[in-house]
Amino acid sequence: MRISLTFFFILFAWGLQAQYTLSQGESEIRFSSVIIGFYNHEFYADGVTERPNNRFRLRDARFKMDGTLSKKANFELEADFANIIEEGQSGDRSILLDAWVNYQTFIDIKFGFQDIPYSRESMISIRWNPFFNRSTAIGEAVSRRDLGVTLYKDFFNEKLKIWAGAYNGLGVLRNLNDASGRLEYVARAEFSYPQAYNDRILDLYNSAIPVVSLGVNTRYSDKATEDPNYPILIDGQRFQYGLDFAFRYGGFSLIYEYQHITATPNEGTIWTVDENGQFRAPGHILYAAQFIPKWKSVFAVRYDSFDSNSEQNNVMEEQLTLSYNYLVQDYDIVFRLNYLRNMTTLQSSNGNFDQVRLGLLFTIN
Amino acid sequence: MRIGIALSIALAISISARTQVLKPIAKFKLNIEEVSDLKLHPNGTDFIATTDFGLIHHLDSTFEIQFTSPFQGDDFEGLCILNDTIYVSEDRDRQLILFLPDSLKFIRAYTVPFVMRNGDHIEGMIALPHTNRILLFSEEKPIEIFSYNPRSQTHEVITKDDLPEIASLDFWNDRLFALSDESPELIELNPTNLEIIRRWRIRVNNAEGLCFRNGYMYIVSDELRKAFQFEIPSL
Repeated sequence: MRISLTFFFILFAWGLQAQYTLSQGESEIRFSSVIIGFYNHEFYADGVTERPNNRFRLRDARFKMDGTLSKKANFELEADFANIIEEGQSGDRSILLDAWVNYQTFIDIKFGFQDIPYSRESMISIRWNPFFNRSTAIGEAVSRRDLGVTLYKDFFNEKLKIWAGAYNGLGVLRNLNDASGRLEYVARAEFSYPQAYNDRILDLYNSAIPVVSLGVNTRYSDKATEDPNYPILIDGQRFQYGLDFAFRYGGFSLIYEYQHITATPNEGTIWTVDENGQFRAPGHILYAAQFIPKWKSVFAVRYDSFDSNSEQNNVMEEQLTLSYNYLVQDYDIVFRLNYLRNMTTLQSSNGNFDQVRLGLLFTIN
Repeated sequence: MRIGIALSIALAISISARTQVLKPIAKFKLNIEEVSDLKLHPNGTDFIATTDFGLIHHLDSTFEIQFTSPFQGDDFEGLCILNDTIYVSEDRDRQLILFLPDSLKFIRAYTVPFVMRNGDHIEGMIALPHTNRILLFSEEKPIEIFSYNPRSQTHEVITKDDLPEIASLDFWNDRLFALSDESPELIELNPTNLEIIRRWRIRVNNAEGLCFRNGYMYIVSDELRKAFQFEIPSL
């Protein structure tokens, strides 16, 4: 490990700083970028000979172009070049992250490939997450982006926000829907007090007053295809709801989220079902973080659990992750150390070991 | 149980050193969307407020809108009054727009050749009547301050590494105060060299505008959509 860390400091030089804004008439285009990379060391059990997770990883290499087309319309186009994975390797993350246009009338109408308005954690950009990865319940078990349309309306100076949308339901960019030809439907409402809650996990603005926020969201689909590893896609009916709470004050921030999937798979499913032909997959996520401006530091802890309830992996996946972030230059250049304690009860041969990750975040925004 | 342990760890690291905190003594509802700055009207009683939507309003002493200028820009950020003329910074077009105080009638607009980093903006501004200059503060760190002479249309640039983002500035009895949204905090500056004299934390989030009237300090917040009244802090 010592040798690997030495190489890390020598070789780690991912960085690019430039921001441009172009204006023409009422149109304005901005360019920004996020680059996140780390070295991952996994503490394998004795006897494990294949150790592919001890490696450098480029987590994100994003380039975003967004702006306004007029006073009524804005757009975003974002690609993640880190998702260009060598052919034959696992991973099906789309290179395209966002490609949408939003038209603002009495209600906002957003059309295109976009973030799905489901789950507080999911709706917060990875840039504002003090960890290198997302929780299992969100990072693995829900589709976070899809092609579709979202309606949005806010009230009381954005204290109350409401989203509703319809999407292909596959979670990836494809020309064809699955054989069912049905869509996925999503809705979310969020109420904050005494002001709108920003889309961040951290309280980097050292909130002078306590701000709280409550969110509820739900999604429903009835598809004819499924994901064999996580109940992200079910051949049958999939109903999910989530409740979340957020608090920030004086640099301290807390987010708790509960997720629950109720699935009714069609016959021949790989999933273990009860006498009603259903299975349930609950999950918990808790984030807590403290920003200390004098030390230019953020300390954070996350607990997350998820019971995917699959036949192959019928076990609660549970993790406790500690994070230290040193803000080299505001939150644009951040040195980050994560220690992930894997508390999953079944230590399988394909992973579930403790990990340490050491890396950097570069943002041009 | 494990959630409890995680929470305990979080609370255990929840420590931070604090400076003196200023608490508001009164608050007023603000019927303005996206307020960006606030100044005392030359009549000494009312207020002038600008917005991110390019509007400029005349407010009465209770912060109710009396009237709005028919001139609409794109994004008004900074506001100051010099020689009975209102100067507003139009962020998008790098302009200073001049209005008459009583009618809010548009007088003229100067396109000011501020050379800022790409994507940077003018956020706060203050008039220095004794030198007939206007100081304009850029948003991104390190803060660049443009000392602008409206008569000669020239400016100097000062770079300050130690200043946070400045949203608004105002004088009270020859003391220069700056409002930072970043911490959020109130900062007293030396009017001559702009060195920091003292800082106070303020109990207002998203503070955008600062002004003084009748021995009190007023701060407006865009997201809270309120105006807050404070005692003026002593040295």
